Amino acid sequence: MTQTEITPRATAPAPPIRPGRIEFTACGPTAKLSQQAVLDVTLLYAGAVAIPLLVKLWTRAKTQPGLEPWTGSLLLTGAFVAAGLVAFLFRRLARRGDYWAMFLGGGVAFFALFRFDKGPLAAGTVLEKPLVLLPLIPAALTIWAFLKMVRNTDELQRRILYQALSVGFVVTFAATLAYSVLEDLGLPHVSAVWWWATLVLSWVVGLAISSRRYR
Amino acid sequence: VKNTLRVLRAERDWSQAELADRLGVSRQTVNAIETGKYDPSLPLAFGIARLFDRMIEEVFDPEQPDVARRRPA
Repeated sequence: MTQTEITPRATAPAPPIRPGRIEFTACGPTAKLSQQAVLDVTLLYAGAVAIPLLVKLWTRAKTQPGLEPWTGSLLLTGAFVAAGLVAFLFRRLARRGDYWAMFLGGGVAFFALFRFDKGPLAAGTVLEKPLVLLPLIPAALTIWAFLKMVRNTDELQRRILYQALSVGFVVTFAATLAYSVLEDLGLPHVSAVWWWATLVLSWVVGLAISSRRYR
Repeated sequence: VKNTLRVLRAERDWSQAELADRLGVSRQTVNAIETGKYDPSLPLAFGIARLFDRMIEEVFDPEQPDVARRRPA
């Protein structure tokens, strides 16, 4: 059998163009998020910040005497409008297949909703209590966007992602252990959510380093 | 692994982005293969050869001597 016979020489036509691949270099120093994506993530953050703020003002307005009766309704309507804006932006990012921007947007929305004072809501009516769980929605969307992002990567991007996650894991592991020792020496206790932030940050740094290697 | 991807691409007057779209990979991957920083998987290497209607050896050339020959019998 000759070499030509055992080596397939393809005569098939070129495969169709498949658009929509995500450039993971977007996470590196040559960050090139589209202007639309930057606008959407910024608006998303603004909307997510507005929701707890308006809900907080609404809970205060209910207990404050002397206020116009429509003030509370106006604040609550504003909170719903902000929630509608956030939902609309998430939908727009998902329809555009801009999962990297959606991942970022989900992250900032989660932190914006997580940081607000949940005490009055937790102690509120049956309708107010579920609002405490609001940060779980952007958290779920972030996870969904991340999984879509991973599924859409090609083999090199998957390798870069794997290396970056390894960096993130090792850095977070080392930082967690180191800080637990420092806490014993008297440093203040830190909420577990910051370890999540450390993981994401070190992952992004890992992406920048790994992307650079293949440039 | 050396390759002639850049030459083949230039013959067809395709940009890296255009080739990446045809292969269903990112432009970053095409660039990394061209510069020899990344060796593609077998399915992708065959896909590249198929796209340019060449044999895989015409596109990719291992720099190292044949490993099979160095193995003990």
